[in-house]
Amino acid sequence: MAATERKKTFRFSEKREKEIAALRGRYEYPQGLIMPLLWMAQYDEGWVSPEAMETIAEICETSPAWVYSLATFYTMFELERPIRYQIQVCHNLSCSLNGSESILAHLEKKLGIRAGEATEDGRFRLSAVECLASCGSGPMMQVNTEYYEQLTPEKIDALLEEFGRD
Amino acid sequence: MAKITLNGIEREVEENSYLIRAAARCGVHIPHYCYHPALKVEGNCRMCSVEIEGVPKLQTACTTIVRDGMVVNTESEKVVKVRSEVMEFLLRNHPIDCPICDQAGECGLQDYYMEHGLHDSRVTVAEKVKKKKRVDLGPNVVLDSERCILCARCVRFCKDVTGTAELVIANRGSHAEITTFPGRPLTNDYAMNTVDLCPVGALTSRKFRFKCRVWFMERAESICPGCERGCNIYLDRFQNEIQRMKPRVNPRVNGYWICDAGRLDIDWINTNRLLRAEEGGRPIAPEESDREAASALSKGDEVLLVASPSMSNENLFALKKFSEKVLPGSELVGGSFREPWEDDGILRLPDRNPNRKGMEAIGIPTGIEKALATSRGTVLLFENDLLGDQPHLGAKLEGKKVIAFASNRTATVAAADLAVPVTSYAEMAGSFTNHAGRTQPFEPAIRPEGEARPVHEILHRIAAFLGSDLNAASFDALRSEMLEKVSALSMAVPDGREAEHVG
Repeated sequence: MAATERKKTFRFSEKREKEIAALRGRYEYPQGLIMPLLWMAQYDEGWVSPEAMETIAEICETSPAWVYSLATFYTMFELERPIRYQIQVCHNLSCSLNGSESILAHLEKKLGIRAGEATEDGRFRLSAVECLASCGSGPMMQVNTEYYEQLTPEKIDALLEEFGRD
Repeated sequence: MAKITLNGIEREVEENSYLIRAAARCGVHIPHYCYHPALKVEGNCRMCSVEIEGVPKLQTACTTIVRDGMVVNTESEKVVKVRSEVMEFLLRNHPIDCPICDQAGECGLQDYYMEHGLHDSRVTVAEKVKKKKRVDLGPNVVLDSERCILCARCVRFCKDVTGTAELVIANRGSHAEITTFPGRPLTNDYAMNTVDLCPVGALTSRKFRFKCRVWFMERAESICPGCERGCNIYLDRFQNEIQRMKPRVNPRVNGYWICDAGRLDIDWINTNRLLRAEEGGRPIAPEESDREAASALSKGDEVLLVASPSMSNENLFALKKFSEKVLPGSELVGGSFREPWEDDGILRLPDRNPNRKGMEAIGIPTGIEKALATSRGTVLLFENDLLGDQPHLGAKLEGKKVIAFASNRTATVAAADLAVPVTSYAEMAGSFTNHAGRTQPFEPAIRPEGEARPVHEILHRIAAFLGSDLNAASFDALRSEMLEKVSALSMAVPDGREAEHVG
């Protein structure tokens, strides 16, 4: 991920900016703000993106590498975007007989990824998995903790639309 | 001054100095990796642990400031044992790939293991933490993470010397490693100093990697010709070829560093050289070329001699003498000034001509434009590539007899009536005078290839053909005469070599 390829920038909300301004006085050096800002970014976005680290570096008057060093030291910081929807399609016997292959193909086409991959924005991850013990209602898939059964391409479209709104 | 007792001997040391430095000045070497005299202290490698009377635990000599009456032991049983144990920790995950490592032969791990380690490994190679063997940190520096001992010298260099802070240690514990921010390579103009700073084989120069074993090389003390700073350097040779340039410590000029642009500019010494004299493209013997040049000069027409600010003081002095004594009617000017670059506030100075000050001191004026416009006869160009550097001036050579004295094959050499090979700064002794008027000598690093000779020798021969004795055949005699006649050029003696290559 070359710097030029990343077009997105990260900005703290106005509310956060007020909090940051209030925190400034607490630290002798602007670099003292790195830790609270990393925490804020993670709290707001669910993870600390490279863009967030660059913005934090600017605020703290240091290099992004310095922020990266701290962020990687603490295992509590999430540095990869968490997958929002983990889609697992059963490809065992019962589901296969009921057309899980075409369900998987449809999902691959809609999401633009192959089974085993995640979408670029990190929201969806698709995988073909072994039996999920719902053989009477195939083809089926599990999204995060929920089962979706007797799937058809239309059902998939509706579901993806629902997820897309999230 | 403070009085301390060092290994049983009372010593006077500088007050408020770090113990490791004070001991070094007394000739006592305390092993260390993370400490470097030009960087902020960090005390992370623990190799310099020493025993101080009255202090229950061992102290790191690099973070301890001397106190009057301090009693220090750097070789006690406890210290020796701890040192060996620290070595064992540092080598815990070392891949022991010395046979393919560029640092072998000048490696802090090898040296200290033989001196202070000599333990058997309790860890099998299979149990060691594997890391990345080849990380491109930037265009000139390659990292082998497995060899790194995390001394953070490179991190501190980028933070405090260049102020760019590209390098950091990421992750923790066994997984900690040197890295840049993803997508932001190490591109600062001094990045290759981190390779020198690295006490192990973790950071290597992309240019020098796998080129030559360090124990095969010999080094010469030289001066970087890249700009008017005159950074002190070593030129390392193998098989009569320059393999690499390294900084030579001089607190008065360049400290411990040199810039990457200077360091990388060595290829021209090894390639595209003019090896034989050529007359209209036809090779001729050196004797013949000297006679040819002499006969061109004896015709009595106007002669223009063009010197270059990249020539050594000795050659410039010989040329000045030649113009005054052998060809009194000739004109001598300096030309071929390189375009300035930016002063970066660290070492690089705007003027890229290594010896402008020397040329001034010897009394060679500038004004090549005017001189070329009015000259009609023979033009002698010394280390000047007018056609290449300044084509608008090159055009003014039309219709004139041009004799080019050059180290490399340039556009001017190709167009000259007579081209005579000369030595580059790497193949001869000489001196440059830097921006501050400091005249610094350099020694030959390699033998001249082909029939290249120093300019002063050639001038001496030509003068002989013209019936004069220039007294410039011997370099030593020439330098003595120069120092006698040009008082501004008294030779500076390099200093401050202490603690040069540490660990």
